[in-house]
Amino acid sequence: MQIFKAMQISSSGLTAERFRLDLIANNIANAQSTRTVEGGPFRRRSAVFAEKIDAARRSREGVRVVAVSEDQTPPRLVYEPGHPDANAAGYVAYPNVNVIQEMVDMITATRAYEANVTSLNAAKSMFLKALEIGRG
Amino acid sequence: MKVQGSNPFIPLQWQKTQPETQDIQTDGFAATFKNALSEVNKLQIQADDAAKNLAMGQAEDIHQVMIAVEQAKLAMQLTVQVRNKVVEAYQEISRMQI
Repeated sequence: MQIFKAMQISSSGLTAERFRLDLIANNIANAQSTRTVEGGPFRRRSAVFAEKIDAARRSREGVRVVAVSEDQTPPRLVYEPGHPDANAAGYVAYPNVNVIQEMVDMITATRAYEANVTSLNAAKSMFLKALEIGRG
Repeated sequence: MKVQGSNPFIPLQWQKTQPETQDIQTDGFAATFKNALSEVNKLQIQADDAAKNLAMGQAEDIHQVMIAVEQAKLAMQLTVQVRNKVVEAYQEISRMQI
């Protein structure tokens, strides 16, 4: 229904932010993972968002996740000769995940989620105000 | 000599966002109301399904369930308001002194 469009747009924003939080949680959980299926240490992942446009109806429909990109910065090398994944020189390649940065991203995602909820509630209160037309 | 360059400013064309003919039946209030009611019913069923999926642990997002329930509630309130107006109009006529 056209009257609920603002709500659907907010819904897409909520989904996108939740997906971002999923990735951040995965980054933090794998902050010490030295092995992956592709080989090498885990690489930090982040989501790429884009505006969602319905080309047929030429309308804007919110946001969508277009890609998940891997951070290509080099891994963190820590001298740990006893580690099973240490190289010949005794260095272990740890993921390029900076937990502090992930925490900041997490706060951003949480606040963005809250902002979407606020705009959704604004849409709802506008609708309810419209229902009051002619009353009293 | 008058220089005539190509005009770089092309006026924007207003695009119609919706097709001109719509399939909405236009024969009277009853049909319109019936259409609206079926829309409301659809939203209620969607909210029901969303709540069921949540209970069964299949819901992907909680907010989608909440939004579906909220939309169903708002559509219901709109319907009730329209109904109140109709009843009001009927009572106004029935009170008419002849």
